[in-house]
Amino acid sequence: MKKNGFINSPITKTAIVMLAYVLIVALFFFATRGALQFGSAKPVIEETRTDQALGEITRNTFYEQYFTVPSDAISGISLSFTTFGREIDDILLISIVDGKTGKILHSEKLSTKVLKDGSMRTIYFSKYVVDIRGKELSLKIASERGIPGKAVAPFRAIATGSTIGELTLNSIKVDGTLSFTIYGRNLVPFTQYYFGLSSLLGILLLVYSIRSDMRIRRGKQVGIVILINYFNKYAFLLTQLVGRDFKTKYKRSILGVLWSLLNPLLMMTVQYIVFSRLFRFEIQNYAVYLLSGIVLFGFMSEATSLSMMSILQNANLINKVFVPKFIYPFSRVLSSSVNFIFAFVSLIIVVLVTGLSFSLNYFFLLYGLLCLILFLIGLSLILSTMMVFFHDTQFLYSIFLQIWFYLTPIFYPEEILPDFVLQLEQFNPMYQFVKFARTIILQGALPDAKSWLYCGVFAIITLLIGILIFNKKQNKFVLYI
Amino acid sequence: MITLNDISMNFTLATDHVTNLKEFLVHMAKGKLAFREFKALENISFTVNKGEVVGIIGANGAGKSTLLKIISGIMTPTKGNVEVKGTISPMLELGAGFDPDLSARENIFLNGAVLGYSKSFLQSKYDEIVEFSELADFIENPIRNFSSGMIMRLAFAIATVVDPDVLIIDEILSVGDAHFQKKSERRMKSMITGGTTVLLVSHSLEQIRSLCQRTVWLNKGRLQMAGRVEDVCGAYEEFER
Repeated sequence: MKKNGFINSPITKTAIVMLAYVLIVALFFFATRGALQFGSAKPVIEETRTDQALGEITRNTFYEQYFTVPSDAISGISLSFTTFGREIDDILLISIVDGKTGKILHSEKLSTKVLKDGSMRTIYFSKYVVDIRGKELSLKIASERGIPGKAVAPFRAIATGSTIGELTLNSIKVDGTLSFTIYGRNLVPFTQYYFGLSSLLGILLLVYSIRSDMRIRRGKQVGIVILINYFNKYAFLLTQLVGRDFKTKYKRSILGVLWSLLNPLLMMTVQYIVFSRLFRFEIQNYAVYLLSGIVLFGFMSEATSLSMMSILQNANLINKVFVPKFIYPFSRVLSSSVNFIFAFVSLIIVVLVTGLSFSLNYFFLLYGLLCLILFLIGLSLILSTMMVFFHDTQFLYSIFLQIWFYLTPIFYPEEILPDFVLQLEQFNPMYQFVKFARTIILQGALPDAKSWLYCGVFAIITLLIGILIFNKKQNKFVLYI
Repeated sequence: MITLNDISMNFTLATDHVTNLKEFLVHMAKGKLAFREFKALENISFTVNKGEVVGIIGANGAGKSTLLKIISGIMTPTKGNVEVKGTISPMLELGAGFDPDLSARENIFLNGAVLGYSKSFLQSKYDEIVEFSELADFIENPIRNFSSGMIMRLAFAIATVVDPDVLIIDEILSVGDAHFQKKSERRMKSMITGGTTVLLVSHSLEQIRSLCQRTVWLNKGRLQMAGRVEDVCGAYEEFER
């Protein structure tokens, strides 16, 4: 036998695997910068019923609203402004200040150009304000270059009876309360669970890799190696099938591959125009809100509809050539993923055009997409199996897709749903995947730990069920197609 | 090389082929969802040694193709198991997975991948395939513009470029015009006599006699006789008469 080099010795291999694992666990923890320690956002102060406009905020005036919150962190605020119907080019300086020491805890700049007269504007903090539970704080709104007649004004709230805190203009008390909303988040025991769970997984990984090493040295086969070899063997076929789907899709059109980028862009434009004219929802950045939902849902519906037919359509091949049957639905999901990449690029173009900025958090979209793809593979395996035995599946499923589309908050805000429906949405996988992506794209923030968990659980469970059903029935396919 | 242990294959044939929900419910309601067992193969056992060329003969519907599909792994037998050592190349279908919109070159790689060839193997054999198919001038054209003979030539060239441990052939194929028919028959025969293990189904006893060392005779799903070519073919001719 050939003598293995240093890198191939079993102990080094195990060490490399473990080191990589520890590195990933640690990197992920630091990359989230503590955001996952907090639960989901809830409005902790909600003074949204506007009364009348206060005075303009100019260079020389500033408002301060004092308040305390019963939460561990502040992750965003909402404010309403009136422009008195004028075009105003100003920049508002909005900050959260420690009421006792006067220290600025967080500050944001808001261009008045994006404000719609009288409507609410939500600002999501990319970094949460922490350690503020029960402390006296103030929300300070000042202007960079506003002059009387060319400035915006905030609203006063209709008194709700609850005592919020004083409202001051240039530090002098005025009557009433500012109309505003504070979104708070509470600490969840994320850190303990994260490190607990990842150490447990780490130990399992260590045991498995040591056991695998010993088995390999005794010349036995190891599950993971078999799996990798299996995929290596069929990787070429998969690339050929995916390449075929991609090449033939636009083969006989004049614009060719350009269509794959143009198609989603044009579709998006049409859908945006229709939905934004038809329904006037109070959603900030509606274009991106709508399109992110449509792109993800479209990916799901294309991948599942195509792979549902894959076994039947390849009946001739299945009857004559030996290829593992999962390749057919799997390759369709991969083909749809290629189309999705182009649609996603179009979405990014829209994101940039609408003035949203890229954040480092985009990297974590990969997790959501990976979960979505695993979910789709599982669902495709189930559907393609059902299709072999019951041809009604395709008709039932297309109706089901319609219902699913309207039940998922794609083009409408989730707030319009009744409470019990919103509770049920937790169990709608597409709701979770869309919400995960939207949090990152629209708010530039990280989804909370629960959201991560839901996405992962839906992906794994659906995939396992899919593999189980497909595996149990695949030997019978040949007899029914 | 190939060991078949007590293979049985049953097809459950629904008296009507029910593949949709309405039919299923209607039949259920009528209590008519009857299934008929059809035994395509019953307790087949035999062994093919390394380097042997074994012929399989039998009337239509005797189960020859089903047996080849089971050995190739396309079907799983109801009972019994098959052991095959080494790479296996079933030549049951020419041009499986061809896409009319792709060029001949792209189809060589697509079809090759479907047949289980590796990328490096295809790249090294690419020139040989093109040369044998005599399609060098049209290699970048989509095959939708090809005549059926040209497509078969391409398919044949891809299918026969392999050098497997076990070769499974359902009828010796000769495709194309007279010139290419001779060429393809020569190639098939050289593959069969080249020292690999071969399982050959044919209706031509003449071919079986000239190419095989042993013969298996299937009759209505049962193994009627197996042994030396002359004995089995003789008995088969006697039986058919």
